[in-house]
Amino acid sequence: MGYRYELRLSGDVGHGLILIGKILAEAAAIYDGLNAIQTQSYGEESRGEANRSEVIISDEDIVFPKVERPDLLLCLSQVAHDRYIDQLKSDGFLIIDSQRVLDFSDDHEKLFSFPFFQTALDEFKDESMASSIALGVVADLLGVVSPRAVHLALRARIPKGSEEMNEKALKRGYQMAKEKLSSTMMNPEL
Amino acid sequence: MTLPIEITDLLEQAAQLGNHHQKYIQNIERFLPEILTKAEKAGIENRNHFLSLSTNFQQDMSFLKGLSDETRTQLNYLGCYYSLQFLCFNIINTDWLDYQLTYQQSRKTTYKKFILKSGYQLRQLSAAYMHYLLEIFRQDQTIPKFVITGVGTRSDQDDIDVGIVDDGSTGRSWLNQMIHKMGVEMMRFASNLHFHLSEHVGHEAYSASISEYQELLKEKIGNFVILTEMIGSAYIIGDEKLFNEYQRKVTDKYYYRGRANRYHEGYLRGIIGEIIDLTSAPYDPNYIHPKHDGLRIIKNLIYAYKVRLNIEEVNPWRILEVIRKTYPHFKREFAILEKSLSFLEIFRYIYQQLVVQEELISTTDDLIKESLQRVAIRLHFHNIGPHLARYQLLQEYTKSIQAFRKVLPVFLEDLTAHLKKISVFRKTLTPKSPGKGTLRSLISELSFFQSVHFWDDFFDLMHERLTKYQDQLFKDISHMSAEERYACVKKMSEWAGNHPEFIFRFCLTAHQLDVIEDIYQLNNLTKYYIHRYKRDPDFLQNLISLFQKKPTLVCRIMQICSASTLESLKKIIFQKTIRGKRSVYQKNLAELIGLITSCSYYYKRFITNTYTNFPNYACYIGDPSMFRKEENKILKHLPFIKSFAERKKQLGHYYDLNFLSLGLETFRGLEVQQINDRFTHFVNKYIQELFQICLREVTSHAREASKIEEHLVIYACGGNGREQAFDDDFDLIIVADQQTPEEMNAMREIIALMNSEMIKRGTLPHFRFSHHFGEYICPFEGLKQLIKSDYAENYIDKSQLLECRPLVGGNGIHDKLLQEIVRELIFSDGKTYIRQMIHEINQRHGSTTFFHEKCANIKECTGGLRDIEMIILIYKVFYKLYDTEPYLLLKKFSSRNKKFVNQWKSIKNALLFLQRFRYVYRLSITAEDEIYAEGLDDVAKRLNSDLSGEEDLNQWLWNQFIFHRKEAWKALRQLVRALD
Repeated sequence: MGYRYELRLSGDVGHGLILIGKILAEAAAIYDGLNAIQTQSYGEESRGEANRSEVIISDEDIVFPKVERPDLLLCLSQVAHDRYIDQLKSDGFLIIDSQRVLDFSDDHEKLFSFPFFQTALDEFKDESMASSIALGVVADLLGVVSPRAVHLALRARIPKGSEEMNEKALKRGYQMAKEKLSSTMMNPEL
Repeated sequence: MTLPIEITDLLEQAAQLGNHHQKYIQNIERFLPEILTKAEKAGIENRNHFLSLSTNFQQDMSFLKGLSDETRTQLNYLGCYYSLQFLCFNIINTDWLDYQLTYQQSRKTTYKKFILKSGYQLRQLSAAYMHYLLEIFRQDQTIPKFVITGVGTRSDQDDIDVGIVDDGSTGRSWLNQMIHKMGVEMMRFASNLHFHLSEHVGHEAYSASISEYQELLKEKIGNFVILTEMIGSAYIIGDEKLFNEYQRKVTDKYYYRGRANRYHEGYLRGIIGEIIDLTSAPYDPNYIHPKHDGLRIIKNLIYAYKVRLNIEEVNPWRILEVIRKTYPHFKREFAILEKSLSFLEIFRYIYQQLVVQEELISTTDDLIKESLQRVAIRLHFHNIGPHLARYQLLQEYTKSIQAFRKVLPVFLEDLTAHLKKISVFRKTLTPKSPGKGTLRSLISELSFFQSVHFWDDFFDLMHERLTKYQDQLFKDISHMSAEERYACVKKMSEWAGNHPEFIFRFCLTAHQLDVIEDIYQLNNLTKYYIHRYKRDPDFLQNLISLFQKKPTLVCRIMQICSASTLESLKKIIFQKTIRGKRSVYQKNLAELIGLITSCSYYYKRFITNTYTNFPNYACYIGDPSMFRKEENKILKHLPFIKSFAERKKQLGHYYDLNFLSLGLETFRGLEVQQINDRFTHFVNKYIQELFQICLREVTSHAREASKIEEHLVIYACGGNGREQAFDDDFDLIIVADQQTPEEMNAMREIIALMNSEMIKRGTLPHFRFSHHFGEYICPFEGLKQLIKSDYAENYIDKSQLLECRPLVGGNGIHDKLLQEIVRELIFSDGKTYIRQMIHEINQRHGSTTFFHEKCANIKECTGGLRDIEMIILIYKVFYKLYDTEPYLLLKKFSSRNKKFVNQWKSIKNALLFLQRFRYVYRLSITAEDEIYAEGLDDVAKRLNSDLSGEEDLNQWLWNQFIFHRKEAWKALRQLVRALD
């Protein structure tokens, strides 16, 4: 029996969510030999009022390409959380930015909050690194795509000269997810 | 005294041989009359073979020595005898060869027998001669124990390779003096002695003791050429017990005796490495070199089997005989090897005997051509009309080279499997036992194997082990201090020496690990390594030779090198100009580095894919037009491939090759519209072929397949609909009509298969409208109802349909779509669509008049690509045009209303500039529309090759970007106002 994971990545325009979606899809499909679909629509791309990117990853052919009940929802803004939380599976992962999503659903056991933007500012002096940190967190919690594949796909999508910082941010994301997982085992956030 | 007739005949025949035989002729003419006179006086003239080939050299020499008490005379007589016998057996053997080739069926057997026979006689004669020389030189003194062994081919006459082992006692200096005298004497009368082996061992000039050999070989595998000579040494004269002891203590350990043994392993790695190096050198029929072209490779291979199968024989043919009896595998391949060996050996032997004792033969030189004709005749090749004997000889030579090279991989594979099974690294790379499986233990084990070049099995094993034990090897690194880490990197770099293959492969194998932090360590290793050898003159040669041999490896290592490491590499390449055949590889490597340092990761993927699948394209990187040949070949062969998976793989190669070559031509300044045409052409072809493959994969009957094709259309929309190049996604609309549930399922399956395949090319397919229908395929009626309905982004969906371009499927559906949706629903209510689009433009930019100069997005800024696309769509609806290609539409708009010719011209110029900027930017920096300041100089240079280095390239680019957007925005405002 194969698996199928539906991911929805949401936030504001400029959060780089379409990029994260593309990287995850390419990591799965190109480097890990899985199947993947990534979707975005005109609104998100050109105006991005409520920015959203969706990815489906499966080890089988993806016959139905629509994300209906995500297994993982990343929310980098309060608006995004409010808009998409209802569709998240009850046992799905809810990943939020701890400083931008303050009013969050407590119906989900797998809730993980991370200071993506604050970490990006504190450690990289660049808020745009939040997306690479989030990518590391999502990839680690999802556990379907290998770190190497994510790393290679990230490289293929970022401008030259920014590799080192983006890769460090990605690594930081993985580390944050691992730390959170080990601490929540003892002390769940909810 | 005049020379007897037998001798004058002999000398006459010898005069036909190469000039190097003059030495022997002169020796005979000078000393033989005196010998004959003395022999006659002594009454032994009939007891010695002074006029014919002897059957007992020892006895004859003993008599000769007795003819005089004076040392110099004795030496002259012995030397003369050597010369006489040497010529005798050469002439007799030549006659024998002639007879055998006339009356015997098998050339192969004749060649082999001839070489064995000649070699045996030469060894017998030389052994007797050396024995008596030493007898004369030692006079009454006792000499220390020693043994002279014959190494090397043993049938060569240009020199006699010997290895001399002594007992290490105090008398060895005196022994060496005698050997020196013997060497001088042999140079005068016989073949030169070549002390190859002992030149490298111990402190004495000519001999070395067993303990000196042991000392030299204890810590490192050492020079395997010397090892081959040691392993192949055969007793000539001296102490047999010492020879046995030498074999027991020094050479025995290089044989495989059923368990891991680093001496055996190291020797095999060395010898296989040399086989591969020699084989990778291109064979040039204009300059043939039997030793390099074949003999050394074949003999190395035979010796690899000698130690692997524990064979005592030292002669290659004898070893092959034992292999035939004891090793049942590859009988056919060993027979081919033997045939090539025999031909190449006799060809070299006869050439050296008749012409000159040189290895390199220029087949285009007129004098050499004549000589080759003589060799050919001697080997019984005949002129057949205009087809001279020498042509046939050279044809046979080429055939021999090709034949054994063809079967070589079989042996290499077999030996690699053997190495993998017996390697000491099985344990080293397994972190089960304490201290094993760490980088430190690996470096320590490797130290013994310095300077060997064959590591294929090791990297296979390393890959397996790393996969199994994950990052164990690198955990060791992360636990080290910075100093320890540096020491490891340094040690490893020094161990690898100036031949980069091991370090590159090590980094690439480890790079496949799933641990990100290691990549930094690997980069440090490559960086340090390149820095360490950047001034080494051989490093560049080795790098070029590696690129020639393994272009894929070099290309892949560049992908993981940091920018600064690549810069260092670039400097190394330009350090000196390589001449000859390799110069093309230097040029191409420089081009490749230049390309990799100045292209985006998005584009690099296609470089890597092409270099992995078509390594020979290393030669064509400077000439992208050569790629087209291969592209066409793939398409032609596609229908003949049975396996669907293989067909998809080949089709993927077609896509990658096209992408790479078009990218290269884009950098070289290809016109935008040509780029669009070529990109659209190959992408269309790719999707059409992919659809056909997936269709036949899903449907079992042609009828069913044709039905599905009739009821479905795949449209390209978005950028691909507009025939834009180098998009990172692929917008598609799949429309179906009148389908049964079975057909619908089959269609879903086909599209899912296509999706899985397309994504591998690094282009994400986006299935437009799938969010409305919950699946890839839009039912035609559903689509019609959707467009009819009133919803917020209805005009966006209309835009998708206005730009869509059919790629695959039934014309009926497309006609219906144009009539029932485009004409009846969009064009008929054009005003609404135009109003919504103008509103969208205004809303996107916040103001209708303000031009955002500082915006840095090629697509979304005011006057950017999005605005241009939108104004084109607006006017397409206004004029009710069905075309989708923007430049064609712009042309039509201009002709419809002459009043706006200038506005459309500005739009066209802006589109040309922005598209070209976008393409170059995507291939150089990143596949994003947002412009990052880094690297823009390269983009500017590629956009305008006339720019000089003194100009501010970055500023030029920004000025152009702002200028064209401003012009487009101004024109757009005027065109929008005209619609009001």
